[in-house]
Amino acid sequence: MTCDVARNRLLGLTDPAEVPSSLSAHLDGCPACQAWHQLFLRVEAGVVATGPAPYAGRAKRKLIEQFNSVVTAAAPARSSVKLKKPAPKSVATVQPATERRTLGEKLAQMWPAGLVAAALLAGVLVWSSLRKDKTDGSTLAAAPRDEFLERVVAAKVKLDTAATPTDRLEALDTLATDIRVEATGVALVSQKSDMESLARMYQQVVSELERADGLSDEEIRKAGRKYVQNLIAAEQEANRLIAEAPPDSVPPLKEIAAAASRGKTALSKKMLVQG
Amino acid sequence: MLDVVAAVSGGPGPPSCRTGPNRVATEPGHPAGDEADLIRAAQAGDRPAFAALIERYWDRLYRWLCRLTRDSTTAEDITQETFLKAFAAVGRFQAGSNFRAWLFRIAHNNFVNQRRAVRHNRQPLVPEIAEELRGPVGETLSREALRLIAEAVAKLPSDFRGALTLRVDEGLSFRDVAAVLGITEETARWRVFKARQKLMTLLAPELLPAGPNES
Repeated sequence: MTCDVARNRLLGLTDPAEVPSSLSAHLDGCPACQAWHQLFLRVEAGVVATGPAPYAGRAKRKLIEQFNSVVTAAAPARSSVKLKKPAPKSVATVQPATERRTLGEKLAQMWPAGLVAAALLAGVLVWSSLRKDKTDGSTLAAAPRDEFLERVVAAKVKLDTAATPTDRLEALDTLATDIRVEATGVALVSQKSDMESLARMYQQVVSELERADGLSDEEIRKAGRKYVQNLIAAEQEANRLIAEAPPDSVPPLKEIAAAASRGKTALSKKMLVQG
Repeated sequence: MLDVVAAVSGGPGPPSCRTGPNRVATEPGHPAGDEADLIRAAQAGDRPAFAALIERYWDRLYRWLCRLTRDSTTAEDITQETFLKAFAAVGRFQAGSNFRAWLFRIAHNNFVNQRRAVRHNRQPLVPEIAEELRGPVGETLSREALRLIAEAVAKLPSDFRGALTLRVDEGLSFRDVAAVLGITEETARWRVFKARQKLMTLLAPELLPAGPNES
């Protein structure tokens, strides 16, 4: 066996530290190949040693929190797995779907209620937080604030107390934007039912927005452009996400895009007619 | 000629994609059954279970992608994208097959797509080296030797580099390397062989002590 043959065989080994007897016979009698083999082992170790340093960014923690917090917020899950090393703010066990309502269901129930008093809405929030505490003995970490729910509640209070049609339209636009941002933000990880609820809410809000009830011609001309721009942005963002979202999120995203498109057209027509 | 057997003092590793001495913790403490449970739960829609899988695989995936992309930001982006796509597709993962290889396969597809998109914007070739290295390798390879190795690895074509690091760094079998890269097992063996050969061709003249060479 020549040195070239021996070295090529060493290079082809699954683990270069485990040398078969046919090769070790050559190595025993060849100091040059022995040295070469030792270097080869050190280079392999060096490849491992010179790898990137451990990850120190924030994206990992953020993503893990996103997966955990979605459930903490309200999402159902069908299985129950005891996590041995739960991440911070994680949920140790997951409730059966029958015992929990999704965020979307919660919001969908709020929306058709019409004029809901702020006190009642605050009650919903309290109920929501109490409900989280009444889980099946699982070690819920401190549940994060449900910022989206709070934004919707605030928008709804603003809507219900709007003094003028312009204020009401502004509140509708804010609410539509909040729902759309939430939907597009969670489209990649959210459950089907949540996305469907968000899409339904978005459609309802936009349908009210596009009517622009009570606004004068001048007011529509002044304010309409901004709302049309927001609807265009919503349509574009939803369409962009459709390409990469999981199959369950695609129909709700299409509904959001379609609602935004209808709203944009309807408002634009009003602006043209009245302009 | 460089001194291969030079002692290097220990110290903390550097941030991001700079080279570092640490390997990601692997299977110990996480029996296969535990992972199978997590995967089943994730397939049933249990997001904390998937979060646990992210916790388990993020670092090693990021590390491998750093090797491929040579850019920490790109590696982080692809790692994140990989987990989101994996979550979207976890229902189609076949129980009993290799989850790690499946995950790395998604990452490799993302890397290929990313590379296609930024083909004209190549990353710098020379990696940064840790200020100080720890562990047994740090004691047997000089800092200069490690720098040469890091540069040589960085100069490998990405196909070879990807295969080599999956085998050497991740410890995947040739079969799993093939599955990740979407190639045959023979091609996987050949890529690792060529990568090793290129490294030794580059490094032996620098790092091998003077003396009798070939018989």
